[in-house]
Amino acid sequence: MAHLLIVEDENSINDLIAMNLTLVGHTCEQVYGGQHALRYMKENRYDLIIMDIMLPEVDGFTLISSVPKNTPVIFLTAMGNLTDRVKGLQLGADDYIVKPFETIELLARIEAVLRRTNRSMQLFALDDTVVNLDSRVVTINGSEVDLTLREFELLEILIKNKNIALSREKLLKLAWNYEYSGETRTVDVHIQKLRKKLNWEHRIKTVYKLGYRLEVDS
Amino acid sequence: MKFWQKAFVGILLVFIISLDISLYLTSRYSFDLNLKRDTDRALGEYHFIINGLNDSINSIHYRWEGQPSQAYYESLMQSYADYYGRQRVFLGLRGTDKMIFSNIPADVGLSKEQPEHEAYTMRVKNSSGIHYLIISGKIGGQLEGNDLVYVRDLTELYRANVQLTWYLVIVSIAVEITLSLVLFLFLRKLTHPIRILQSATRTLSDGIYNSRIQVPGKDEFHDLAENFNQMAESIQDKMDELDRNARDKQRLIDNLAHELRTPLTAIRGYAEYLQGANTHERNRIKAADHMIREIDRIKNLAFKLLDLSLAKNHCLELQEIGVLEIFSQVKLMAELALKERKLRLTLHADSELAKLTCDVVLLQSLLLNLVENAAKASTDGSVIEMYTYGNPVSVLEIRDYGMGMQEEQLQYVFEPFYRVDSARSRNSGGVGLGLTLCREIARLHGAELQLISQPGEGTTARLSFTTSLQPAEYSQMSAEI
Repeated sequence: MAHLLIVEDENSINDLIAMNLTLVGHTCEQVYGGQHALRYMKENRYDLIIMDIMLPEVDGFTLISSVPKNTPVIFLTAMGNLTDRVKGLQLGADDYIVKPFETIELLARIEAVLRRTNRSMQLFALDDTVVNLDSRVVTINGSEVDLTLREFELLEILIKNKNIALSREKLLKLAWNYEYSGETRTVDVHIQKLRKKLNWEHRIKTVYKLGYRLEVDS
Repeated sequence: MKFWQKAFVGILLVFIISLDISLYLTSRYSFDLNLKRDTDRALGEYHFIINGLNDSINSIHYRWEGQPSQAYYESLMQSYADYYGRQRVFLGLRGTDKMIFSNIPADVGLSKEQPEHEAYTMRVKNSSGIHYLIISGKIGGQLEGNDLVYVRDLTELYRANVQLTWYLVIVSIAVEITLSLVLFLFLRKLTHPIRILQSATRTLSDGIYNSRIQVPGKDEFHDLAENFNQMAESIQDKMDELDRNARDKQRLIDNLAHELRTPLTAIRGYAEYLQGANTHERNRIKAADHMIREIDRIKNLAFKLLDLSLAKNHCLELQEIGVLEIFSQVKLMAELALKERKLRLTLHADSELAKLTCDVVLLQSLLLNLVENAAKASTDGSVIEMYTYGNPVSVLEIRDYGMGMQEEQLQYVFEPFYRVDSARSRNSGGVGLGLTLCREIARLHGAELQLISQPGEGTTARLSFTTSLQPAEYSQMSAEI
């Protein structure tokens, strides 16, 4: 659970990011211009700031110098050329994402930055199951469950993208590092095993024509 | 071979050949004259000697009535020979079968060739480098049957001729060297402008269009240089224009890509969200709303771009129409949107009858755009005014009393995709092409579109029909009134 600030002047993009972050369990605040961003940054503490560069009033390159120390920043911008990227990273941004982006990619990058700065959640608890993402130990009511490496990686991806349906192809790519190969039966087999081992038949839902989704009440 | 080199070689060749030929002819003529003078003199002496001989022989013949002796002939000839010997003249007296007297040098090599009919023969003989004039002929009278041989040494004449020839050769060489130097410098100087032009054209063809040349004077080269400068100037203008067009196009495409990226990102994101998210109905509706708005934005963009491209390649369908009529049509179209914000649109004309020749559809779209812009800048409940007046050219104005613009914003308002207030404009579906379109339509009508604005006081958009597309009614009308 992290608390994030989204600085983006495009209403629709701002909402899109916020809605997806809420879905996976983060909380966030939204601002649409440079002045507001400055005020919010002064008054609150955030685990991460997602920031556009071309903003009304104060642009992102200027804004980043006012970001409190130890607060990571990700630039999210349409300015995709190399000089802008280099400038963004040199100014201290932790990542630089160019529009258009995919939701999964955005979430993965946010997760990576949070983990690097030790703000990532380490424990995930659902029903009687507790998953320690750091030590890679899974327990049900205190007793440890044996998971293979592949099963654990699949579990981790489901947790990090909870409430979002992931296609079998995407799961293959993320957990197995395969590019699309049509071998999606492997995914089905592993999902079955996870459901059985964790007693999560009703938690890991099959989404019709799409794939699987870990459902957590929000 | 370069032009000046060709001219140089050509002129030099012609000059040298004609000079040498004329010098050669002169020396030949002078030699001939001298030879003739010598020959005449020799002939005179020859006849004088023959007469002298005849006189002497006759006087002896009549005095003694007998043939003079051999010794007498010899002594007589000797006295002549002695006298003429000083002038390098040699004499010989030939009898019928043998030489009676001769002091002629052996190398002359006399031959007996006596023509039958002529009194004497005359020829020049070259004997081992020395030229001799030889005259021989019958003496006649008492000495019938004897020949007198007169030999004159012409060495002096020939030496003088050789000297003259050398003198002329040296003079001609000196003249030719001087001439070639002068000619060289002269031609270089004369063809200097050609080289200037040459290097200038090379620079021009290398793509450096701002070089200009200076050729002083009032000759053809000066004119040519001026024409060249004019040509370079117009090429530079054209190239600048092409560059500007290419840059404008590139910027339009860059901006367009950017304008498309945001809605596409959003639509894709929300589609994924709708497809896969485990969430409430409320969020799904929100996502769908965003999608619809973004799709509308792309639609707007597409239509505006289409309008722009149509306006750019449009054939005007001109017709004459009352300005107030157009104004009321625009008012009708804008009314609904204006009412929502309690804005009032008022029409003002200095003449009810003011007419305009224009493409009505395009002009309406232009005015509507301007009214929409005015509405965006105005606060709720304020007024927007449309003016027309016609002195000296037809002018249409749309005035608002809204927020106005800064100086630097005014600079960019006509740029495609530039928005004065980007966030607000985008959220209300604006694509930033309105004024670009307006300017294009104005240009088609030969009109000028200006924005005059003060921050906080409002903006006036002024459309002045400056070209002769318009009929002269306006001026007549104002005169009648």
